Amino acid sequence: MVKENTFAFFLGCIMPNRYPAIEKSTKFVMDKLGYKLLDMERATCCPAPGVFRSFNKFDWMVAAARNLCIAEQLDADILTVCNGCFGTLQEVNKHLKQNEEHREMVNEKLKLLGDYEYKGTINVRHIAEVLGYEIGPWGIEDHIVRKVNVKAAIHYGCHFLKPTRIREIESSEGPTIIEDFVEVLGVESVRFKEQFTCCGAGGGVKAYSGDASMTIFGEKMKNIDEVKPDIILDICPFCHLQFETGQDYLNKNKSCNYNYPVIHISQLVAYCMGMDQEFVGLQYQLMGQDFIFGGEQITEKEEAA
Amino acid sequence: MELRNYATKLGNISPSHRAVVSYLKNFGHAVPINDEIRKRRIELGLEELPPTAFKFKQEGDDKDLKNIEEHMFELPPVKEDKKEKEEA
Repeated sequence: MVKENTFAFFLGCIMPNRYPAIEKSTKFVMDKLGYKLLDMERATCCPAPGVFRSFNKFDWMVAAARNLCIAEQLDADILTVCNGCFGTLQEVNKHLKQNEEHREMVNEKLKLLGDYEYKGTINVRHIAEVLGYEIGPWGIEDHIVRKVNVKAAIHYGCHFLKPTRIREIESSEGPTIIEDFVEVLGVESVRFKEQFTCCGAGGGVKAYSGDASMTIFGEKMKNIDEVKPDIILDICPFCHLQFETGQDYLNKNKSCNYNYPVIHISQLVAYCMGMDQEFVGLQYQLMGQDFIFGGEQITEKEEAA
Repeated sequence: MELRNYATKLGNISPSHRAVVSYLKNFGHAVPINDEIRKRRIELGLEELPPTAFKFKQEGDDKDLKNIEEHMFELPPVKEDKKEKEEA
């Protein structure tokens, strides 16, 4: 039985090492919602599904299981804010719970890495699913102090919903979990062409071929630019990095002039729950540094009503 | 996936992907931290280093990353013909 209202907070790589404001925002949000986040000391990269699984699927499972063991030792479900980390940890966790032979093989190799034994006692959660289903639009309203007034191009990314038979969250064809949740924060979702395709970063593509990655991303940005949103809203630091550095690349190399602020769902929710915009961290980002969320403060009268 | 794993065993690995594996072994992260982000973390009121394996290595306890380096993701050496191409 895991601890209630407590998560082992899996940081991953890009959030703590490139976008710490997302980490700050997530801690703020979960604390305000009454959850305790535990440090996962000695955790490593999940490891990323695109590169590491393709090299050695077994070692990928072992390295993921090592991270899962750290959370098991804390008696807490894992919380991640990253699609890639979610993809790896949720998939390996589910597989090892079901496959005894692989569980034994993984545990044998884990002995080489330290005092670890995978038991299958926890679950892996993504913040978009915790916010969307556990807190829900009905639950967040009591916690917000202001609403924004923005049109957002919402990017789901790949691993949050796919493969659907493993994730079991929602259909990947026409999901609405994020739209439904952020509507009460004052966000209007604007649909765009090929909305649910990859941003071009994952699958080891960004590391291997910048050109291929930017070709995919260029198409994505063209489709987003057609609907002229105020912001791009994502749920994954790797997609976040791609939208940030990708816009910069297209501006410098493909005669584009993009400057869409890129906001992770944790940053948006933290702002609506009262965190100063300074800590949301747009001043550290490449795009939309001068963007002001603005929006309306929720008055006491409204709160009472 | 099995084919890709097999190709890796044969040494068919791009240099950039090899680098990502070396980052995991050295830093515990596929994307390591840098000085600018360390500073930014402090400005945001976070710990300078996240409490992951790399922090422990920095504090002198490198057993986690040593074990990972020794036992995980052993890649075959770069093929001679590829080495020549990469050096060219």
